[in-house]
Amino acid sequence: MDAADREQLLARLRGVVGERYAFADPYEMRLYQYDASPETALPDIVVIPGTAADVARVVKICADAQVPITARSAASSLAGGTVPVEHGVVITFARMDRILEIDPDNQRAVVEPGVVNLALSQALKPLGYYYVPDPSSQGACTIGGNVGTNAGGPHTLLYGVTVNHVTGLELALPSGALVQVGGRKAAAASGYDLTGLFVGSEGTMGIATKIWVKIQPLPPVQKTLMAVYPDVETASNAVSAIVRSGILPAAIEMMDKLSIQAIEAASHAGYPLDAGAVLLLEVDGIPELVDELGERMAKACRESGATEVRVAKDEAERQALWKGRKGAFSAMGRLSPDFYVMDGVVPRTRLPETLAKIDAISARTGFKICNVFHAGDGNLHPLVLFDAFKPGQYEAVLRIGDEILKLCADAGGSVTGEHGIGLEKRENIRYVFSDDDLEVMDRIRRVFDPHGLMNPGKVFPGEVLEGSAPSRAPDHASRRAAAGIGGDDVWV
Amino acid sequence: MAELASLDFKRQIDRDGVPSPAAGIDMDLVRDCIHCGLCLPKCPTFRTLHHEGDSPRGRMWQIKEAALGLVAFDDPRFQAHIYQCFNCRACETACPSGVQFGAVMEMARAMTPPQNRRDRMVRAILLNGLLPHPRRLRIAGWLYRAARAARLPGLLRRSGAWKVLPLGKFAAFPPVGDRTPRRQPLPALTAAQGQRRARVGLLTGCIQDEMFHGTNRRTALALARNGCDVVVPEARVCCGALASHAGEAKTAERLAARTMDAFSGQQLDAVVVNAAGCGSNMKEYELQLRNDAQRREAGLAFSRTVKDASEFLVELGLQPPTRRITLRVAYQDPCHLVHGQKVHQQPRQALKMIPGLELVEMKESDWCCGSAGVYNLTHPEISEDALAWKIAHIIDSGAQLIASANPGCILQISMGLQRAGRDIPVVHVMDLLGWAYGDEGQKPPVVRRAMA
Amino acid sequence: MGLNARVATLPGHEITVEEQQEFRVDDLLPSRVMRPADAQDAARGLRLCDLVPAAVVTWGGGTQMRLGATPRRYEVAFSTERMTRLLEYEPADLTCRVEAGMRLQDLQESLLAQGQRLPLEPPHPERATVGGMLAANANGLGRARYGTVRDWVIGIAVAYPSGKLARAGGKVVKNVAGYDLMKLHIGALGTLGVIAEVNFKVQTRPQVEATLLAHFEMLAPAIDCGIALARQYLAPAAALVLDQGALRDCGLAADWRWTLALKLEGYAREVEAARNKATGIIRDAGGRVEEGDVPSTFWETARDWSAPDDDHVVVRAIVPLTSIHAILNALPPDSRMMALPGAGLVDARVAPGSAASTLQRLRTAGGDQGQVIVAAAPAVVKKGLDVWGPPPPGFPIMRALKQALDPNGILNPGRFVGGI
Repeated sequence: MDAADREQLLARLRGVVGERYAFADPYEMRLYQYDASPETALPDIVVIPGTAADVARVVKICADAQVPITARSAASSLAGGTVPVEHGVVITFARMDRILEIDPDNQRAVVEPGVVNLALSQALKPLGYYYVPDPSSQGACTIGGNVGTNAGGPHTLLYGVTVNHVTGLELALPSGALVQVGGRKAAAASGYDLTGLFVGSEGTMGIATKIWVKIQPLPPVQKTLMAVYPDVETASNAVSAIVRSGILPAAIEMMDKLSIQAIEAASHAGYPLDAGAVLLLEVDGIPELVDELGERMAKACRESGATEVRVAKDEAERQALWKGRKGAFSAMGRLSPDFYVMDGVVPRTRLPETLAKIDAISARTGFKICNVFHAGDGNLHPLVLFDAFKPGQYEAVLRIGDEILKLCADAGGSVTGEHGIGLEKRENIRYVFSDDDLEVMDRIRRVFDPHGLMNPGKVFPGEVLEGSAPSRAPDHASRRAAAGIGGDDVWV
Repeated sequence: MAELASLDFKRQIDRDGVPSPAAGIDMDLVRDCIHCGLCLPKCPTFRTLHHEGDSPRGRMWQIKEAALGLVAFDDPRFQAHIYQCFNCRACETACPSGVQFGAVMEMARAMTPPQNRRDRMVRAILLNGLLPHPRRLRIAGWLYRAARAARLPGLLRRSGAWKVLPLGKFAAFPPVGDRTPRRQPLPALTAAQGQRRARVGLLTGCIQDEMFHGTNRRTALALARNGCDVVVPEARVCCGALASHAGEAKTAERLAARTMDAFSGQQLDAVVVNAAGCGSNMKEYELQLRNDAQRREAGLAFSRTVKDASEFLVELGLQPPTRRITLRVAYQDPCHLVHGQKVHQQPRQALKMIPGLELVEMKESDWCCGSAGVYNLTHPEISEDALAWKIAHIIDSGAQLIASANPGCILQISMGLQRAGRDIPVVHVMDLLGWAYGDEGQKPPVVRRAMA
Repeated sequence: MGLNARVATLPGHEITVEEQQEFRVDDLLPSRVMRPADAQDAARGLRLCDLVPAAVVTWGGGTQMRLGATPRRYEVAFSTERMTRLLEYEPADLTCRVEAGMRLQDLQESLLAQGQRLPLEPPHPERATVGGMLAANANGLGRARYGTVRDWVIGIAVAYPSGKLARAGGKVVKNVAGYDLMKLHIGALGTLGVIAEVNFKVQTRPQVEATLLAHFEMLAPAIDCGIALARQYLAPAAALVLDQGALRDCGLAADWRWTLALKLEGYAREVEAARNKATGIIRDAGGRVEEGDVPSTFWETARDWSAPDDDHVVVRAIVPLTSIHAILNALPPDSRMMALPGAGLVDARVAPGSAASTLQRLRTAGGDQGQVIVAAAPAVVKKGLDVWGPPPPGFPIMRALKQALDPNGILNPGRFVGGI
């Protein structure tokens, strides 16, 4: 964007949000070039709107000026989802952090996109409710960002991810419209499920300015177990065995030796430093049952090779274990100046072989790779440790990431379980989707955003974004010929 | 510099390679931050200013860029974001990567010129002109107490002059504290009562001793009642906390050395501090003396002996006080105690031992009240915003009295509550303990009634 | 070439006399029947229809064909009845992949053999197909506890008029790669594509199942009990309020006017505790808990009640829980009703003559956060009814989505909301 255009756009945006909340100073732009991923790119202008109506106006002004828009909330994306790779305007939600309504009668809460995930659950707690999805970054990440990535978390194993807990959205679209889709009621009865479609679209369709979420009664009792295994293979085999035994825990998390070291250095959570791998399991339920389930689960752990099973004896110990687990990524800072985290998924039964292959990659390349992840749903988070200040390391790490995602896809899995495709995996998406799959998704994207202005450069591989819709031949016969259809049919 | 600003970080590093970091900034500490963002919701200035540059992550990023020479330390925008920080270190508590934000911030401030005229004045007059000089400090303290004895605060309030005078709000709404201009200094040794369990030094401090002399006396009493010989060094020293937190590294270094000297050779089991900012500072002397290998070692050894008063007493095993104080009390965590020293439970445990005292929790007790060292002088607007949250939470808590453990917090919150027309005194945890042990000194009416 | 001639060039065959009854939609008959062999075949076939362009109605088990407005055109019956394979099933992963034409009951039997199930119970599982269940978003009675179809579908392959067979989602239970097109097609009534394959996550069957019936003199406490139970941690697998008429339809009779039927599932202790708790809540609300067994057919007839095979008119309201009393008060006295209070859903069988006025009243009562639709009605009654009600606020986007994926409007034209 040239300086004159920027000034003109800035003036218009300031007309909406005021002088203080729209700025373009190159120095300040440097502070909006990053998120929690290693990616960076500079915006031209940053806007901090205070209301949904302002967001809609800002989006309209940008769309009219054909300027890219990237929504950014906590910027805790691990996939570069909020990095404005095509520059343009970054809209942040630091001011839109109000819980608008808590409606226990309908089991709903209505929030602005900037509400921090954990803040919502904390506000619900006195009423005996909580908001289920609990990404490990829940202390910082926002519900708006969770909607963007369809975020998960340890406890989504049993209760489902963000999309299962969002019933309605208010959307600011490039057309300038502010539209409500879905709402307070339990299910959609007429029309397409635009709420479900939008969740997980990573800001490429529009911006959610208001969110209706389900709230759920707090489980009466939670029991957390830590099972210690001699190695990762035994632990990952145990995961399937436990699930197969008929108990579905609310969460099953795995940490390998290296991760445990980092976690213990950071938070003294109480994990044994000499363990080859640890499973953190949780069951919840009514008091009459939880002890029985806990015992059955402990038994299943022992039978699957656990050398020790420890039950958290009180809430403080339970919280310590979870705090350690949830702080695991950031704790990697203790082991290495930089790390690169992946988010592959494999079917649970393929965990052992996949982890073995990752281990082989680590051995071959010489980069340490930690594993701390949602074992229950096969959602791997290999963390490659490196030093970005050493030339060539970052590129090498990207190649490792690519290789790991390929092997997840080949095992029948996915390249992202909860972090989103973002910027970093837009080429890797080809490991799981064909051109046809992507073409259909792109068509849908264009319905919302015909000019490709909403978080451009994300989700889709480069060529798909540049491609055009196929042309149509004039009449039936030539259309049929053009489609290459002829010969015998196999129809009954 | 301007042309660099059009390049994002990675491209810049790709193009120019990694520059060698500026001296004075420990790059390893800076790179502990992985910009995950977990600190943002805990940052009081981010909550007020909504700007990434005023978040802990944003500040770390800027310091990293400045250290690498990608932005200048004297860039006014850099200065603004760096000095708009409370340095309350709540981000350290939130940080899973163990970033030592306070340490990095102090290094950065040492290289960053002050942001505004107010800041320069505060440094010249207060940090360098007054606090390091015991004599000047004594005179200032006398003037302060004399003004209070002459009922100047009331005059300021009634006339409305406080609204226009510099420091007017603090002068007009002073805390519970010393009013008599003359006072008896603490004896060089207060002997342990009962069985002797330890021999400790007590930092009487600078502002603390001039404005809250009674708190020092009650701290000594509490220590003595718990079997401690309490040694007060003859040399009245300022530990350098305010200077160090503001980035006045030279002054801080000099005061650190002087403080260590004052306590040396006394065979102390611990150096007890009742001002959270000072305690936090004195526990980090190693950092301030990092440029001098010999001193650094000594600093580390000294820091290990430093204890906050309630931390020390609770670890020692507090003797239950006998006098009742029937009051609903909320505890305000001073940032440099809860975040800087990770002392969270001990003051509460001490309070709970007082018969009749009901401890209630206020919302966000571990959030900064906006006092933040000299911050309420250099950045009054942002400071006021933090104070407004604090006052609202205090009122919601239903507490009749606030206990805290740092002179800055007590001054600030006390001012805020009085200005809001609330008769909720703010006192030190050691004040309450001292009264409960039988100290007969001045008490606010609320406490007098509660002890009747 | 005229339309009929072009349709005649399509694969498949001209409709036979026997098939005429089978593939009727309201009062329309197709001229051709296509039965693709698999997903690829379906995509190619659909492309050919698009080239004509011939209006296509996709057929599964036909259990939800009374839902929706009468199509504007109908040339081809596109049946998935040859696409019935269970393509993949890994019990230890709790996932499976099936062809859309597979009957739900067949799928459940395969799962049951491994002690697992899909906790979705739409009406008539012996005929209903997986694809049809998705397209009609046909949910059973357990939605307050187990959610709806959208909560259990993890992947999908859809044939589009462009001839493309495109997938979304995948085989793993947690996956955010690409757009969640499962959500788009669920409940779209086949207007955006033909669902060809579906990936599900499944669950372990509960240890124990129990039924509890309670009778009430008043409606409000029965509903409130249902809501209170659904709001608890571990809601009943079904909580259903029936009036005497609906109860009779399900083969039971009661003296009291309203019946709350609870299905309890889970571990044995859990069910026991839930029964005790529910009994307490019911008694406190003035209900009478019925002792004794309930015939095993009760839940099946209740499940099928809202999708009648005969000419009943069924009106369905889906509203926030707090609006449910208003809906019930607006029902005509001669209607029969079944409500899922915890899901905010009311189904009512109403007399054809009062259908239009009932719809009107319910829509007013449901407010702007509710939706009231005709879930089933014979063609002749439908003609006078606004089946879907006013289009929702996001309708322009819906129309544009339809235009993007089915530009020639061949899929179920006119059957869906707002004439889509």
